[in-house]
Amino acid sequence: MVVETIAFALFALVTVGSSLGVVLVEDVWHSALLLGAALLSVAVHYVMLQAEFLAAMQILVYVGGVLILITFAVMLVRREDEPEAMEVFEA
Amino acid sequence: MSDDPNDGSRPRLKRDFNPVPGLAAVALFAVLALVFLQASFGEAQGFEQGASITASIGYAMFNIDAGAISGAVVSGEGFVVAFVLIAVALDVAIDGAVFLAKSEDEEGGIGAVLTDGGREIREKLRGGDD
Amino acid sequence: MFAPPEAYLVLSAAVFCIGVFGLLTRKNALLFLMSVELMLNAANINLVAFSFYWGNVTGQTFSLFTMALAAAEVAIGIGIILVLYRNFKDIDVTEATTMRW
Repeated sequence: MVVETIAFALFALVTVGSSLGVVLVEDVWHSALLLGAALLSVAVHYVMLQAEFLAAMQILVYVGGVLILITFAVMLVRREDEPEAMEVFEA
Repeated sequence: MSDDPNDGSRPRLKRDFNPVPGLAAVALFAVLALVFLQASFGEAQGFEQGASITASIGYAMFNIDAGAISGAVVSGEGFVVAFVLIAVALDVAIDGAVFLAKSEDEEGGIGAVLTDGGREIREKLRGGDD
Repeated sequence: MFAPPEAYLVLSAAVFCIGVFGLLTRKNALLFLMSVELMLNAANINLVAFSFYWGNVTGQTFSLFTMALAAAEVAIGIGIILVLYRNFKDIDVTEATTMRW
């Protein structure tokens, strides 16, 4: 029982910490990566609640679909004042 | 780690927040946590021993009568109407995404340039193939 | 259950309020999309936790539908953000203050 409580507290900490990182970090790409960490730790919470099918769906739909879409958008809408934006044309 | 603020790869925290809406969100969390911690819950019931939860989700999603199925089934409500409504909503989402993608395509703005991988603008800049 | 229901309620309230915080303080449209994802996930945590608490599968089925709606919402949101970028050369939501007609 103590081990289970420690596991819950640990993954709750990971969930809340990486969610805070999503809204507090400056760069959008870092936000997207931290969102992936938050979604994966929510999947761990589902496994602890005996919802294994939902955990699989969480990883497939969110990490495999939604996060990839967000990654595409991050790559497509890089702003021009950022230094990375011009590297494409210099290469 | 260099001290150069522009070295790029290190995550940095955003600092210029507007404090008032942030405090509103924190206050919302304080109220919610106060209410939740004062509520009293009994012991959790948990799922029935030996029942397949994944199969039970399937039975609940399509209104299949659990009495006709052998083996332990976790009870739940029927969701077939919600299933059809979500299916229609997903259809509308596909149509909306296609509409957004094809509207104003003929203008040839920066979006059309960037969605071909920057090929057009590179050819304009360098005037040749690479 | 690994923790009492109050713990799951407080966890999901925390994630939800972080989402509200992101919506209220940031200006990037992509951050808006991610904050909405966080809030939907908070709702899903509650649904699954109480599904286990009552020994009933309704909450899990409903959170599956929520996931489908979240995926559709992101597809539309990405389309809107790309159009926003095409028209305004930026995805700052406070910049887009004019309409075409």
